[in-house]
Amino acid sequence: METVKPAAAFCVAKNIVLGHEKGKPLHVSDGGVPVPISFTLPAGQITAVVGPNGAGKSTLLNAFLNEPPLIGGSLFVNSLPQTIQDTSVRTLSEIMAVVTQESTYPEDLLLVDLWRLAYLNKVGVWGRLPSRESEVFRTYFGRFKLADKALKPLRRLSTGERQKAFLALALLQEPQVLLLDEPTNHLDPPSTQDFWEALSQQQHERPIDVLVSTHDLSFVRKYADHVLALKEGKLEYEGIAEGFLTNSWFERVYGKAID
Amino acid sequence: MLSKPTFLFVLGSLLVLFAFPFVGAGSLNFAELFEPGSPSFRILFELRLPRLVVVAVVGGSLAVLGGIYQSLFRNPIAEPYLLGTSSAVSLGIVLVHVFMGANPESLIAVGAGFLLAVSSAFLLIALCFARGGKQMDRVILFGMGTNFFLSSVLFLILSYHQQHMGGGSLRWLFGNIPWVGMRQALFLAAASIGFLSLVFLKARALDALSLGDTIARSLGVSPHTSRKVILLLSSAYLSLIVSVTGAIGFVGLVVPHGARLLFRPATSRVLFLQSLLLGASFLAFSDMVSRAVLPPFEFPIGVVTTLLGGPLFLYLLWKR
Repeated sequence: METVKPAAAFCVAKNIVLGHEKGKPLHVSDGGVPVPISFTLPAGQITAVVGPNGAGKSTLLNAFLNEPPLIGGSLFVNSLPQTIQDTSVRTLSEIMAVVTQESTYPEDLLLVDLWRLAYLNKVGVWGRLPSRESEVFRTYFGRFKLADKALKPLRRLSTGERQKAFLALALLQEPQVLLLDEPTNHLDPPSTQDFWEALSQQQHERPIDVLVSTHDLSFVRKYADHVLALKEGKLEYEGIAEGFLTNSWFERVYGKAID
Repeated sequence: MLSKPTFLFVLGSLLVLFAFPFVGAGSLNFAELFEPGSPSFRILFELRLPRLVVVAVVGGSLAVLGGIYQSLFRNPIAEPYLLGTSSAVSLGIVLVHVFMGANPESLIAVGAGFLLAVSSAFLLIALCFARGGKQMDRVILFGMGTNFFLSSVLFLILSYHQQHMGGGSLRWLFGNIPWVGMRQALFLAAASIGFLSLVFLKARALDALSLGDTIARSLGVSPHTSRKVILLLSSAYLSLIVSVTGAIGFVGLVVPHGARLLFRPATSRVLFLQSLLLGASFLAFSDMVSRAVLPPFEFPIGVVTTLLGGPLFLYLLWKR
């Protein structure tokens, strides 16, 4: 088993092959063989995963939850002794939290009851969840400007407020790794800005390992420390965000220049 | 503590359940009620109280099962009857009854119903959650397809063996509350309490699953395993219910929906508790109506639930 990891890295991917649910590789090269990718991601920073639609961004993020499992290679994060493929759902849930593009949600679920579910993996389905009045929720009501929405059902929240609510749900799990899969895709510009600011404020207070797939270049400019750029399953760029922004990598990855 | 609609709802439900034993073909003589062996005593304790237990347990159970299906398939109009699981149980029981001569309530018949129910429910899950859940919105179409197929096979067998089945054949298609003794009624109640406790404990996993499979995983709930466990449990529970009453439709659809519109339950646990009480009183009321309109004739219970529930359902939808 591989144990060598650079000191300041939270994640090491060695020759991983991304796959579909059906166990087939996501992308194959012209010769018909899968394209393995390798990278190392810095701890306590925000890594942006960019690339055109279908490049494998979501699949890469989902690989951290082992769904679908990788077809080849090994993916390590520094808090686990074994690869992610060899880790149970329950153990993964203790270190990972996720926000998806758009979540399905029960319309009548109250915001505060959604947040109580963050403790599900700590107390189990049998155990006692924290009460609605818990101190810990108050912090997030203030920070995410959701104080008047605590006892509102999710359907009464705006799309932007709901995405922030799901970000708070993820943060309440106190994850070491936060996975954000195009979280602002359905948000208008002010809500998008609001969402990123909430994330960045959190990152200032208690830095965690954040992996964000996004098409939002201004987010990459303003908040990302590190960039992974994918194109048709190949890793085109891996390195600091400035390097990606200044050397026309964006053009190379997307095939088109952007001002 | 209790809000006004909740209070009225609990009061109304309890009133229906208390009134139930006093409605029916023969009127009760109150002076005789506590004299063992008298006609009124026997009507009350040997006929109507067991029937009340059966009706309440079946109504509450069907309502909770409807709530489970709606949450599991993420569709507000999913329920075991509509999606063919009830037909699957009926078909299993009838097959064993007709071709092996076993009693419909025997273990082997219920077991056959359970096997078919699990198969049809797992087929639905496989269809809906294939390709990362992209087919999810088709659950009603898949389910109704299954239902049409299974009920046609059932109908074929029933019409071919009508003389063998006697008057009981209709109940497998439309449902009917049988007159049973207290022992059987209490057995049903005890089994239901067992199942309901398990369902209640699994309800939080349903809440997590309703946020999508990815978020459920990050909350420590394994989507595939949880769905399988919940469907196995519900299929076993449904098989037991259907073996007693046949397939009664509409309760699983209208009751959880009604509970949602009336009370806006925040979590699955609350929804299940409300559905349990509302379902019990709804079916008890339907049964009273079916027996009180033209005594001693009894309307089929499925017809009454639809006639009572349909307009109410439309009204609630319209009001929303």
